[in-house]
Amino acid sequence: MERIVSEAKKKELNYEVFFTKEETKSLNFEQSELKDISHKIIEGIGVRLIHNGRMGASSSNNVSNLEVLDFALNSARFGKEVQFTFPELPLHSESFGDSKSELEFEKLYPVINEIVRYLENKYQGKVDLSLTQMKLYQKLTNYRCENYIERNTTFFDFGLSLFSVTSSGFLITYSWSWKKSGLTSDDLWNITRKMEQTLVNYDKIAKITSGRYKVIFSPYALLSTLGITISSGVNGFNLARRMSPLLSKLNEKILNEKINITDDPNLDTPSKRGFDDEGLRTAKRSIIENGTLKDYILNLDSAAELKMNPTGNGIRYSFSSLPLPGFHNFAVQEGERSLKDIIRGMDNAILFLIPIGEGQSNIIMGDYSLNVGLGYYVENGEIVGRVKDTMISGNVYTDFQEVLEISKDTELLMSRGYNTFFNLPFIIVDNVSVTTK
Amino acid sequence: MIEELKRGLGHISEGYADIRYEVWRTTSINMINGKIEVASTHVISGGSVRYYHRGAYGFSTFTRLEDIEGAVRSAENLAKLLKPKEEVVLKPQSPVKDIVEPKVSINPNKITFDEKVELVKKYHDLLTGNDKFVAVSVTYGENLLTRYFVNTEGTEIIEERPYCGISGSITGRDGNLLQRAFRSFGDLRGYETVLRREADFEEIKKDVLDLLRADKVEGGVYTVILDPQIAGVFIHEAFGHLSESDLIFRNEKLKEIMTLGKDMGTDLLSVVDDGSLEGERGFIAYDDDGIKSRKNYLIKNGKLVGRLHSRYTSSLMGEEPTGNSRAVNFNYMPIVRMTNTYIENGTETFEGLLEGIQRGLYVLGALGGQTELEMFTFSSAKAYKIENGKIGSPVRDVVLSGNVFETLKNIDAIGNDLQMYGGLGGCGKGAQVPLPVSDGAPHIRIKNVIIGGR
Repeated sequence: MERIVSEAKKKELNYEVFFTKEETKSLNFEQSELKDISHKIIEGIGVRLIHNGRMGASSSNNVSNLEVLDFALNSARFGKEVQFTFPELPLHSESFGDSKSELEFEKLYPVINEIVRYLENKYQGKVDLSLTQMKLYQKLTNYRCENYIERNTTFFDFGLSLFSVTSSGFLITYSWSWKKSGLTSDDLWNITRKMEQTLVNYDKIAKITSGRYKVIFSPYALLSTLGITISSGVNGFNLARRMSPLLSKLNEKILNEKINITDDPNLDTPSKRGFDDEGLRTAKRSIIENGTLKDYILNLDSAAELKMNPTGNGIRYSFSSLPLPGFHNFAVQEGERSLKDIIRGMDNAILFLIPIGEGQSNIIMGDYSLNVGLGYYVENGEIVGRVKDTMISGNVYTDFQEVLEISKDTELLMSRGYNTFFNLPFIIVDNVSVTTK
Repeated sequence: MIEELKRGLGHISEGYADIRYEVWRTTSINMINGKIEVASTHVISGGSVRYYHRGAYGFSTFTRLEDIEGAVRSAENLAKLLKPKEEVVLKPQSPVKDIVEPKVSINPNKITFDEKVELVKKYHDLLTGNDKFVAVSVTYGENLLTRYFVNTEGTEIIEERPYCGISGSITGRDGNLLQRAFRSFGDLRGYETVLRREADFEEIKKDVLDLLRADKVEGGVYTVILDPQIAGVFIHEAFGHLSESDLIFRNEKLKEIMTLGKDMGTDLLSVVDDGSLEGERGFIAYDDDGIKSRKNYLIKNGKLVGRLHSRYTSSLMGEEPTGNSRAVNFNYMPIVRMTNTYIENGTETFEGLLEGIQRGLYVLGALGGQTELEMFTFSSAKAYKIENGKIGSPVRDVVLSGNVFETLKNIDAIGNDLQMYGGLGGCGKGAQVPLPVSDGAPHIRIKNVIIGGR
């Protein structure tokens, strides 16, 4: 990196250089057996140049490859006219997680085997799982100063899925969680128990007919509906290109007043950032307040195009991708009652746990049409059986006007690698269209 | 390069190991609303080592060639760290020595960057000129891949895969309604693939205007005719993934469901995965286990006859490897994947397919699809009602869903106009996306398909 920075200085270029080094250690089980143990190191640099008022960019995983400057200069010949400058950077260093903590394969291997055999015996299925340690180092500098911003992130995650052929048909369920420091056997068992909570009366089929139902959207189902529609609708990239229906809708009510959504860069997840990947300070922002649209998610480029102020949301999803507007932590404010209590008080509803087919509709307009991968019918406060061969469809902007309640329970989900986390509750929506055979 | 990789494996005296080294030169040019958003070239190179020991792999990556030996030792140590419960012996393969050069008349690397930018501008301008078009985007994508593969059995392969493609999209607005239409073309046939696409780009304009005037589809159970593109996505999503044997190889119940010889559908139905189709987006001369690609029947005349394998899954199931072990790039372990998947031609004409449909849908183009083995969904780019055997008005937001086993049996007619589709996207499995594949089919007719709707 230093070689490229020094060459860019010599050539008096208006440069920005972003370096990442990602080290991953993982242990993977496939079909209930150890498949591999991996150690991967990926490093690379992304370069942006503003040359003759135009943007040029390139990247390489050879971090001293001077060719990237030539590629970026060549690209600037055609690049977009730039209406912003790179900001002056403070000297800033931040870290997340316990970088000294290591994944202890040998210690955890017997526990993993125990969990796998337990699930196999209890559910007559096969288990895939992965245990990962991620260490990430990122460094940003530009021509405005000698300073740089650097970020060290360490976290561990554990995901498992169960596949079983049951009397109600194929059954797939999964669970995932993460930690800042090394995983223990208790952590692994807790995630296993969490997954088991999705398995209630799973071997019975509940026969329902097409119609309109109360639907309890799980955090996974919310991610595939409210999550992707709102995060793409308020995204500066789409707004600047007039591809979002939320352009000119600031301060208008777009969802039910029970819904509050923030972008919180201070939330304690691996997406916690004091500065974004363009060097702007981040801040907690209210995006939707009592159902009303209050703010957008902008990087330098989209803010300049929209003639607004950037919001500190420029994120590089890899060293080779340009900074794009993105949430740090998309958080929906939780409600007061637990999911258990809410279900107990319901006469009938569909508990929509795992969707299949995310993103296949006109998502930016809010449309969704999802198959129920795993879902249950709730009758008189009890889960009575699985709902199968069923599509749940509608429009986020219309359906999420009829929110009945939001649960106290929330779940943190990771999206787009480690770059954005979603903290989502269960949301109960009335009058949702359900099509079944 | 091959010699350097072989030196890396030099000290290994027992067990199996291989090294993949890849050099990617990627060019991306994207113009949106008259502005070049991206015009860049990236060079990425690196490799990975797999060491196989008793039933599990150790896997390690490297960027610099001087780090190969360290990566080999790391993979070996990782493979020997833990003892899998089940020991599986990889069935030995005869060594192969081959250099595979691309068969293209115009290699994209012979075309200047400036010419590619001009091409993007030309197609972009073709898509403009209607007040309803709020966002017009054209993207040129190029991946020139050279891959080197060696293993401890003596296999040495060099293979070049020059991919290029182009896509165009229009977001149209009418009042509060926004709709998007797009087309994407890409394969390994060379720069010819992106030339002379004017007529295809004109279709995008027609599609978006159709979508803006289309009604939202009414949810229900329909008879559908799928065009070759979406029928290809259907067979990829609904059946192709289920044929990937890493999903079934230890699951006795699933193995029973997928017993070779079982009836899967009408005897008109034959399904193939063929990595050896030169020029197609999913063409590979050799897979990432160093196995030569080949034509594999999955269903023949309605009966299940085959499945897709890596060396590992084929060794475990006592079958032959099929050339389907693939990774998106050197940073990932190869897993069982499709290549070019299609339904073979039947005999029915398009008019014959329409005959007798009282209430149905003619569904064209594909936005995407997803499967969780038994259940699948896939969505169309556009669709028209079929009423009394005739094609009627356009409808939008058509997402089809069903159970694969029932749906395959509900295919009751197959056309005679097979076409393959590649494009700029690819297939996703686990974290590995986008893997270059193509899929295709003739027009097909399916009864009782669930369509989500309002």
